[in-house]
Formats: sequence, C-alpha cells, structure tokens
Amino acid sequence: MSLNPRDAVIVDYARSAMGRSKNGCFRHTRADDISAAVIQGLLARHPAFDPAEVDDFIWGCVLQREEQAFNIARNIWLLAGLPHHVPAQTVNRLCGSSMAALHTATANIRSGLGNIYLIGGVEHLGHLPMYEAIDPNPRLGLSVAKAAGNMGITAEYLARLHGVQRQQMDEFSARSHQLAAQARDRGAFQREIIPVPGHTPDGFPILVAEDETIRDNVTVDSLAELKPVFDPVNGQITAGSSSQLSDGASAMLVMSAERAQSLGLPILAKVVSTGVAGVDPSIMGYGPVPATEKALKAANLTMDDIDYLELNEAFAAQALPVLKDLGMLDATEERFNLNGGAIALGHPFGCSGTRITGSLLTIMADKGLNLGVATMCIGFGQGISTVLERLN
Amino acid sequence: MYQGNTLKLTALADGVVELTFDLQGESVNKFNARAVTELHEALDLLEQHEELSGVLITSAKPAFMVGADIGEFEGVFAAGPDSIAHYLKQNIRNFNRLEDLPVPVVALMDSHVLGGGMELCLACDFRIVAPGARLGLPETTLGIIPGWGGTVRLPRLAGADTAVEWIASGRWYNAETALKRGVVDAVVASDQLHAAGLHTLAQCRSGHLSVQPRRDAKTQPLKLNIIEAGLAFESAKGVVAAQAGKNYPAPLTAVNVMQQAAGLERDAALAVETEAFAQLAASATAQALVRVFLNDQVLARQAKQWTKQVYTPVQRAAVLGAGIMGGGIAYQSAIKGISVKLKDIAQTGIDHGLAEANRLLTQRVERGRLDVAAMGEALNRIEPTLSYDGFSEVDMVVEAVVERADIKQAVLGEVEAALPTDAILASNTSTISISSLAKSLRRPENFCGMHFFNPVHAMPLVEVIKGEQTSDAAIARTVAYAQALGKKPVVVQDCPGFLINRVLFPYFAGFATLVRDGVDYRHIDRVMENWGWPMGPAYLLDVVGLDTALHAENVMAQAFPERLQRDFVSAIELLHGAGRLGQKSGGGFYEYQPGKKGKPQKLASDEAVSLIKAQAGKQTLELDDATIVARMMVPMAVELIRCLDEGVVASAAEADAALIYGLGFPPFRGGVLCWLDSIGAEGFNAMLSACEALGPLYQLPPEARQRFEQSPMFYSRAG
Repeated sequence: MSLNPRDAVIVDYARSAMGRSKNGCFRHTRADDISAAVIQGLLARHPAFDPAEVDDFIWGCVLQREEQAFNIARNIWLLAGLPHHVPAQTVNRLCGSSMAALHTATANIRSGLGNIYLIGGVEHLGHLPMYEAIDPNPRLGLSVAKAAGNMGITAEYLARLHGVQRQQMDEFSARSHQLAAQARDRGAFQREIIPVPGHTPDGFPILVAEDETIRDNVTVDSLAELKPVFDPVNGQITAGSSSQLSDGASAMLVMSAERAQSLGLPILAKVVSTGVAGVDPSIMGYGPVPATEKALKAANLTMDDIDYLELNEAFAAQALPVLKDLGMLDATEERFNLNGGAIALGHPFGCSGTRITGSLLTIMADKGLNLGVATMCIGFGQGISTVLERLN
Repeated sequence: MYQGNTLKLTALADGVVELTFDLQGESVNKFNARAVTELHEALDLLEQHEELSGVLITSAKPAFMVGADIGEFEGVFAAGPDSIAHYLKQNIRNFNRLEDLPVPVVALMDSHVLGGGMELCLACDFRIVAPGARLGLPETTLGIIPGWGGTVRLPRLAGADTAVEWIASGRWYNAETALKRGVVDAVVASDQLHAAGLHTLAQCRSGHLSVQPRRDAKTQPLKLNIIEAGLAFESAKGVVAAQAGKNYPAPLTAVNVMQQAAGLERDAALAVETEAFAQLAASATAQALVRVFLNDQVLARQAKQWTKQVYTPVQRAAVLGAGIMGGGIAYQSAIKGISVKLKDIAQTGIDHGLAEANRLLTQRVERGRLDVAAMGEALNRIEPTLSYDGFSEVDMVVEAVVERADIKQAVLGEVEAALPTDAILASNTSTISISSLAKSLRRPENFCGMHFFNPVHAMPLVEVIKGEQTSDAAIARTVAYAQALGKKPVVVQDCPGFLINRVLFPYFAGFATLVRDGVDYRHIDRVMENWGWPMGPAYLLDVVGLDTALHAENVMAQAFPERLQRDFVSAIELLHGAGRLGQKSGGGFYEYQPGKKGKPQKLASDEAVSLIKAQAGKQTLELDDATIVARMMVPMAVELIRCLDEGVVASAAEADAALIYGLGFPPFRGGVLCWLDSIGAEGFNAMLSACEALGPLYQLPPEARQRFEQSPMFYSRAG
C-alpha cells in the first residue's frame, strides 16, 4: 500500500471495558473519569509521544447534560492533567459521534489544517438515561413520524419491511454473545481494553478490565423466551436482540502519515475514505447502506473489494437488512463482527464509533486482512461509514 | 501481635495485619496521647514484620474515630507554640510512616471519621466506608486547622477546591459525597467492610490495583500550575473570609496554608501546616472555641445525668396556646417525630399556629431538606384541639399562653385536672417564678419551667427550671423532651428571669443608661456587633418586641429593684409610647421592610432617632468603643457572677454555653466567663472600677469583688 504524506493514519486505539448501565461496574465512575483513564492509558503506551503536540482533542458524546455537559471533551482533557494549550471539542452525531470525530480529524489532516488528533467518545447511559430532558418539536409531525424518535420502533418497522423474522434476530444475537465470549476467553480484547477504576457488585474498588455486558449463557432458545420490549403486542424485538445500555469510552490516536513516520510511531491503518448519508428517519437502521456506498464510491471501491465489515449492532432487526443489502450474508465465510457486537458489548452512543473502528482493526490484524469497513446507523435517519486499509 | 490500651494489632492470613482502634473505657475512639504513643509502637512492629503484605485499619467501635482528644488541647495549647509543635510532630511522623510502609494500607470505616481520624485515613492508600459514615475535618470550628497532615493530603487527593470547602467549613459529609469527591474509594455495606478491605489488598498483591500513583500524588506538590493555583486559592479566600467573618481566622488561615504549601512536597508542606497550627492554637480565639466545645460536652453530660433516670421517653406531648411560641414548639415536636396536641381557646389561634408550622415545613421542603411525604407526616402529628379531650393520654404538657401570672395559673390548674397523675407539666414562661406558679397546682412536684427561645426551631437552648417543689423526675422528663426536640437543655434554679433573662435585662439596663446619657443607639449597636454580638442591643430589642421587653423589664425590676429600677424614661418606653413595638409593628429603633427571602430588612429610622433625641437630647455623649463595651457588658457579667454564686446555674461551663445557645453570645469569646478569664483579673477589675460610680447595676457584691481582685479564673487551665 502506498502512503501519501497527508493521509490520515491510525497510530493506536483503545477502549474501556463495557459496563452495564443498570447497577454496573461504572455506577460510581463518571463519564469523564472513564474517558480520562482511557486516554491516559493510551498515551502511556507511547511514552515518547508528547501530548502537547495534539492539534485538537475531539470527543463524541450524545447526552450532553449533567456530568456530560459543557464540552465534556475539554473537561476530560483537563481532568487527565494534559497540557492546557491543547484545544478540545465535543461532537454529536448521535450514535455516529466518535466516528464523526474520526472523520473530522481525517478531513483536517488531509487538508493540512493539522497533524495530530486524539479522538474518541463516551456515554454513560447509567448516569444519563436516554430519553430524559429532551423536548422534540411536536410540529416535526408535519414531515416525520413521531415514532421515528423511538429507535426500537424504527427497527421493528425496518424488520417488517425487510421480512426479518424473530428467529433470525435471536440467532444473530446469540452469535454476538457467543463470539464476544470466545474473543474474551482467548484474550482478543486485551489489545483494546484499558482497565478503568470501577466497583464490584458489592461495591469493592477494582480496576475493570473485562466487559461486564457479555452473557456466557445466552442461547437462541433462551432469547426466544424474552418478551418484545418496544411493541409488546406485535413486536419481535426484545432486550436480548437490542444493543445493551452500557457505559464506556473509546479512543484513537490519528495523525498525518508524515508526522507518524517522523515521530517513529506505528501506523496501523490509513483512513481510505469516509461517508455519511441520510435516510428516512423511520428506517434509521438502514443508514449504513447508503453511507457505506458513498464511502466506497469515494475510494473507487465496491463491497467486493472489502474483506471485512464491522457493523454496529443497534438491533439485530436492523443489522440483518443492512448486512443483506451490503451482500455480507451471501458469502460462505462470515466476514462481519467476529468478536461480537453491540448486542453483547453494549452501545454507549458516543463511544461506539471509535469502539467498532477499533474492533475492526483488531480483527484485521488478527486475520491479516487488507480492506475493511466500519459502519453504523444513526437515529433520525443517518448512517456513517469508514473504509480502512491496514498497513503491513 | 500487640495489645495496647487504645489499639491492637492482629495477624490475619496472607501476611495481612489488622490494626484495630479500641479505646478502653470509652464509647468512641479518640486520638489521645496514649493512642499516639501506641501507634508509634505498632508501626515499629509493622515495619519489622518481614512477611507483611498489607494492613487493614479498623475500629472495634461503630464510630471509627472522632478525632484528637480535645480535652488534652487546653494543656498543650497553653504551653505555647513549641509545645504545640512537639505535640503535632509525634503523630505527623506516625502518619508519614504509615503512608511509607512498603505494603498497601486500607482504612475501613463504619461511621464517624472526623478530625485526626480523618487525617489518619488520608494517610492510608485506600479508604472504604459504610453508607452511614460521616467524614469531616471540623478543626476550623475550634479555631485551629487540621494539624496531622489534613491540609497537605486532602488537596493532593481530592483537589484544592474540595479541600478548601471541607476544611474551611468544618462540615461533616456523607459517604456518597465523599465517594463523589474522591475522598473515599468505595462505599460498601457495613458487614462487607472487612471483606472489601481484604479484597482490595488481594487486588494490590495481584497487581490489579496499585498504590504508588496514590502515594505519589499525596507526597508531591499539587498538580495545579501557578495560574490555576492562583485563581483556586485567591477566589476561595474571598468566599471563605466572607463566610467566616473577621473574628474567626482559622478558615482563612487554612486556605493560606494550603496555598503556601501548594508547590511543596509532603514534608515541607507539613512544616507549613505545623507552624500555622501552632500560631492559631496559641490564640485566645482557639482557646475560647475549644472552651465552647468542652462546655457543650459538659452540657450534654449534665443532660445525660438527668435522662438516665427516664425510662419512657415522651410519647404524646401537648402545647397550650398556639401563639408564636406554642406554634413553634408544636412544629418542633412534629418535625422530630413526637405527636403533639395543640390546644388553644380560639380557632383563629389554632389556625395561626398551624399556618406557622406549615410555613416552616414548606421552607424545609423548598430547601430540599424534607420530602413531601415527610412533611405530610409531620403535619399529621399536630393534633389541633379546642378542648382538653384526650389529655388523659398525654405525658408532657408545655404551657405557652400569654405571659401573665394570673392567666397562666388558671390555665395550669385547668390542664392539670385533665392530665394523668404522672404527666409532667411545664410552663414556657420567660420571667415568672416557677415556684409561685406552682402554688395553684395539686401536684407541684410534676411541674417545672421549660423556657424556649424565639424562634423555637432556630434557637438551640431550652432552660429547664426547677421550682422549690419540682421533683427530679419532672426535670428528667423535661430534659429528655428538650433533647428529643433537638435542643440543648440547661437546668437552672428558679428565680425571676431564670438565667438568660436575668443576665439579659441588666445588659439592656446598661443600654438604656447609655442612651439616656446621650450615646447614639445606632453607634452602640455598631460597637456591640463589632465586638461580636450577632445583633446590637437596639436591634435585639426590636426583634424581641418592645412591648414584650417592657413587660419583662417590669417583672425583673420588681424582683431586683436595686439594680433594675429606673428613675428615668427609657428609650424603649418612648418608642413604645409612640406605637413603635419593634419588628412586629414594622418599626422600633429601626424601620423594617419585607426583604427578599422573607427576612425583614432593617433600615434607619428618622422618627425613632428624633423621638429619642427630643427627650434625652439635651446632650450628645461620645464614648470610645471600650467604654461602651464595658458599660454594656459589666452589668451582664456582674449578674452572671451573682447567678453562679447563688447557684442559679451549676457551673461556669453551663452558664457560658447557655449564653451562646440562648443569646447568641459570640462563640469566639467562649462565653462571658471565658471572656473574663481572657481579659484577666486586672482587666476586669479596671472595668469594674471605671463603672463603679454608675450604680449597683455595675457593682459586684463585696465578697465577690474581693475574690476577683485576686483572680477572675472561672476555668482551671488544666482542663
């Protein structure tokens, strides 16, 4: 692979373990504390790198209130005791927030606005319940279904439009937990996870180094017993086939290729192209399809060129139509989410973009793959996608 | 491994040693001199223990550690700065050695973690508390600062702002707040504390938790750079100085100490703390505030002596008269969980009393200090009534009808007939003799005085007055009821005015004389407020109500004509005659307008000034501040010494405490008697001599005068 000096490259990535939002390990640990611990851990891996050289610290976060209010990015940077002259901004593209941070860093690097960006995102859904303190405009109903504001209902709708059955959802979800458990057991997440202070169920202080969200005993049968949560009468989606409410942060160090080389830092991958697209809000779960098509087109690629896909599992009901239309269900060999996805690991909104991009890098390195895509759906009808090329 | 009088060492499995505090013969652990020595010895053993892998610090008592033994302070403080520094250094060394042990140290705390106990925990690597724990560094409320490293470790652990807030306020904080602030590492159920400690040590052994970054943070300079430290401390100083006021230097000193030490490593920072502590501790303010603390303990001990005799606490109280005082007492009962009948002769009175209770409860709800359900429960505990029906179930009655002996006697007789024979009846009178009120009763042994102060919910003191025939059991039940109401009872003997009004009215007489002589009352207020009183005498009279004051003054003058019978028309009478009754009528010495938060706003009154000038205005007298203070305070001091000599109040400690809780006497002066001690024999005698010519109000009885020519020491220094 050839590198242009102004290519945006990923030097390192990391995440916290995922905590359950309901009485989980991070119930006494704030969003900014989790984030600060993750970036401190990431920077500690590169003692020769001076964080004073960061051009901007860009952090994704959706629920920007209470402990996540007031430009949490800046607060995280200061909390981590990092140099005050480095600026910071918080970005919000809902579930795509930290991937949007990656895109901003990429665009800035390519355009020569800067060379070094520390990016990532966080969400503490335990401390900040999703649907509190919002006030949607009732007149939005002139152009959009009110139910489009309820992600689970849009996923039910998408599943119905695409004929996805309950059985398929449960199979998909069981796979997510099983693969995540296997990945954990063989140490596949060690590369990603930076231990963060938290507490045991009894309240004992610990460093949390393992995902709390993975359930070892999940089977298709056990999932089949769960009741639908969004549409109790006609619905098919259960808590078990939805991404888990969880707390966590992820981060990535992104540079221009020339700066990474001059600093002697490892180049894991380059950002080949990016894409964002809108769809009807009522089928927001379909967003990854047009977003990925856009990203591929920008790089003159097609899905046939792509070795592997990391897709955010907002809902099995939404992931299955996306995988189908991106042609990922046709292949004999599975080429997506091999370490499990958000159904097993959880979906802390602001965190997930760089979390799945990191998960993609882990698998690509493990399997020696070349081209990969990370993509996710976004509430109110958007998708976001990133094409990465791994450097050997 | 080690068994001392205050602590012990126990070897547990895996090289863990548990250090347990358990002060023999006491209900709480205190860091007394013995504990300091024993900790030193225990550390010797821990340092020599080759297999040591970790240390747990625990308490055998529910309260982990309430701090240093304040009873030891007086002797140490009086011996001067060198002795104070020496006293501190022993435990500073102990805590440093604890912090420097080659193994992790975990402190496990069930409840109170205060002062020196808190500083011990700050020297540990991990702090784990139970949900009911209360933590704090209350040293500044004693006029000192934390002296065993609290000002060094807290800002390094939790940040300068948290440290400033905790140390300057001296407040206690709950476990949840401590966890949020990063002062503790975990909150676990009480019965899980030990397991949590062992688990934490195991996590350290396996490398999952590390202590070194924690120790580095506590031993290195603050991480704030110069610019940030500048704003952190400078902005804090303004707030702290405003809150503390000029008479309480300790909170601001604490901020200054933390600022000076911000750039220093542990040992140098500790030296800054020690020096400032020694200076503060040697000050009269610290000694007075320590005296206040010790006096408060005396008060509590005395109350306990009484309540030991009470086997059944008050279950069902009743209040007669739903006026300001009656309504306030009913509210206080209800909020403290005691059902209370509120009896009045008129529905309008009841309505007024209930409205007052509702107002106070609403205020608490609005401040987030009470939830709505609890407010409803409190209101339900007040049972309004116009008759004595159901009084046969009442075990404690407080009579709070108008301050007229004939009416009180009639009401007391009436209610007595409706009560069970063992019920206790108390009169909330401010001046009328209890023994005389008892004359109309069939069971005078069950009768005593219970004098609340206005506003009842806010004023801590309750005078419990023993009449000639009052039984000990009646006093005991009344003291217990006062405590159940959250009040501080002081038991006094019967005399007109009891203790508080007996010494307050001579003070007001001093004021009347000054005004008669042409001193501007606004200036007197300024001087006395500057001296430390929360309100000057004119302002206080307005709050009391000039009609009430005049009425009480008459009662007192009849009782003590030699000292209190006036031969001139006082300013109070003038204003009263013009319909100016004080705050309640919108104006007295000052005008009052409704303020922002419901608190009346005090404004100057041209009318009052000219009224007083017209009468007494032939002369204007300007006196220096010291003379004004002497002419105000000597009458109060003289009367208080009389009370002490007559046995109206049992001890100097109780007398001083009562003045602080009942009158708002400035705590930084320790009380009137503590203040006399601080100015010494010479100072007091000079004041007495200067005022002698003003009359008996300013003169001690000859034998007392003789005694005080030698020395006015009311407290022995040994403590």
